[in-house]
This record gives sequence, structure tokens and C-alpha cells, in this order.
Amino acid sequence: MLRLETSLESWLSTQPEYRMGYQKVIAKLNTGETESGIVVNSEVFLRTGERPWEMFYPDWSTVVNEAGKSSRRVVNAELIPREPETLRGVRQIALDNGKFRVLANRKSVLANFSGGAERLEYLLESRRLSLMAANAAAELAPITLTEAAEIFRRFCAYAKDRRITPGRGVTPGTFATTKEDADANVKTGIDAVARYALADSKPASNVFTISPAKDTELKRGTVQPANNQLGGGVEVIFVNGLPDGTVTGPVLIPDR
Amino acid sequence: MITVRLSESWSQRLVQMPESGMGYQRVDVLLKDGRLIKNVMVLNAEECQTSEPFDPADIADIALSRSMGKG
Repeated sequence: MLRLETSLESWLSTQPEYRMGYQKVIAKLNTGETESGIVVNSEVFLRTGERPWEMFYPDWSTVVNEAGKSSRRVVNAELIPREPETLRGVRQIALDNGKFRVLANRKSVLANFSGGAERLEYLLESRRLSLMAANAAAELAPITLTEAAEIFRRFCAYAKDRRITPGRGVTPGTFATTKEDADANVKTGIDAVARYALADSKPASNVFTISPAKDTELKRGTVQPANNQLGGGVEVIFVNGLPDGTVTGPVLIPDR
Repeated sequence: MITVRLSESWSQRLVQMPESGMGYQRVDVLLKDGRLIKNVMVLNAEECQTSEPFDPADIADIALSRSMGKG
């Protein structure tokens, strides 16, 4: 495991993923060597064949620290794009963060052609714009409408989730995920913490089911890395909340 | 990091505000002595995770944080 140069981290954060949470690259190291592997979360390089970090370390910050202990660093990377045929069936989710990604990329390019304080300034600006792009995931996405009989899930560490109203609706601005994403990827409360980058590290083992009416307004996006979690799940925001009688549960799933 | 539990009235106010992510909000807390504690994580509209201790009775106002988004 190796860390990346800061400017490379900024650039990678603006580039497409190979699959959820990582990019496949040919990495050039500060020693002059070239190695193939993946970059996870735009921060840590794992050589091809290296065991997944989850097998050894309890959390992402430990991984980053461990990777930083090596004097070897990745100074450049060539992205390996995913084969177009493997993208069939991947749902395209409209995001409104493209503007920030483009601007971040431009600043990153400018940084590559600058030096000293100017370079640092461009890098910081690029990082800030990348963060805005990431944070824009669902928040700045355009408002869309639910389909007929579309179902959503909400994971919570608490059985008494305060976003659920006494009449079993939800308050405006409440986050959830799609049934498809939850059912396919989350089997435990800890799974939910990682996939939806939850701030509370306690297992989110209480699962609420949300059944809004057709044409309910919501925003859709992808959970960006946050709170030392990789994210990657689908997130939705019920912009105006939901009326009484739309929520059932919670059903308990295993913590781990 | 310590946990400060909000009074019911502040919790009720927070649930009317949008979340920052599933189950949490990032807020700035203004205290009655004028101190502003930024980017406080609030879980389930009731538990503040903060490195700067404060008495919940001293809260003058709470607003959603705009400075750092989710991270």
C-alpha cells in the first residue's frame, strides 16, 4: 500500500471510477518503478495481487496512515478505463456536480503547469472544487420524480429515528436509498455504515421501508466518500418530506 | 470527541431541517456567550459529536453548516 502525491489525489478525485470506490491504474513511483494496481478513494494505491485492506485494518484512516509509512509514493498514474461492454445495465444517475468536476480538473491542470505558491493555490482550489463536486452528490442533483410502486430503505442506528414522524411520514430533506441498492448490497448494520458513509459508526441495523406515492419529488445521487467510509451507494433525498402512512418498520438486521 | 445531548426543543427544530447524510446533520452551534462552534456532527437530531465541550443549556442558535459539506 502506498500513498499518492497530493496533486495526483486531486486529479484522480475528478476522474471516473473503474468500479464503485476505486480506479484501475498503471502507477509510476518516485523510485522510477512502474506498477499496476488500483487506487482506492483517490488516496491509497494497492498493487495488483495485494490483499484487500479490509482484511488487515479496521478503518480507512488506519489504512491511510499505514500506506504513508512507506517512503515510496505514487507520483503519476495512467487510468485504465473500464471496458464499455461491462457498463451495460449500469443505471445512469443524473448529477448536477459536473460543473464542479470540470472546474476542479481545470485547476488541477493549471497546477501542473505552475510552481511555488501559485501551484499550491491551484491545488487547494482544485481540492475545494472536488469537495464541492463530491458534496453535490444528491444535494445539488436536479429534482426528479418517483416511479409507481418504487420502494426505498432507510438505515438508522436508532429504533426511534427522529426523521420518521409520529404519523409514519418523513420530514423534508430526509435521506434514504433505493430498495434495489439496499437489498443487493447491505446485509448488516455495518454494511450500511460503509455503503452510505454514515457519520455514526454504530451499526445502522434498523431498516425502515418507505413507499411514497408516484411522482413524489426527490433527488438522486451517489454517496461520496465521507466520514472515513467509502460510500458508493445510491442516495436519495425526499425534498419535501413524505406524508403520513408512507413508512413501515423498523426491521432489525444483524449488526455484523 | 464527546457527546452532548440536545434538549427536546432543539431536536424538534433540527428534524425540520434537511439532513447532511442519512441520519446526521452538520451544524454550527452559537452559544449565548458568543462562541461559535463550527461543523458539529449531530446524530439523529439529538446527539452532538464535538471536540469542544459545551452545555446544551447555553445554546443560543443552531444552523446547518455550509463550510465542509458531508466530509
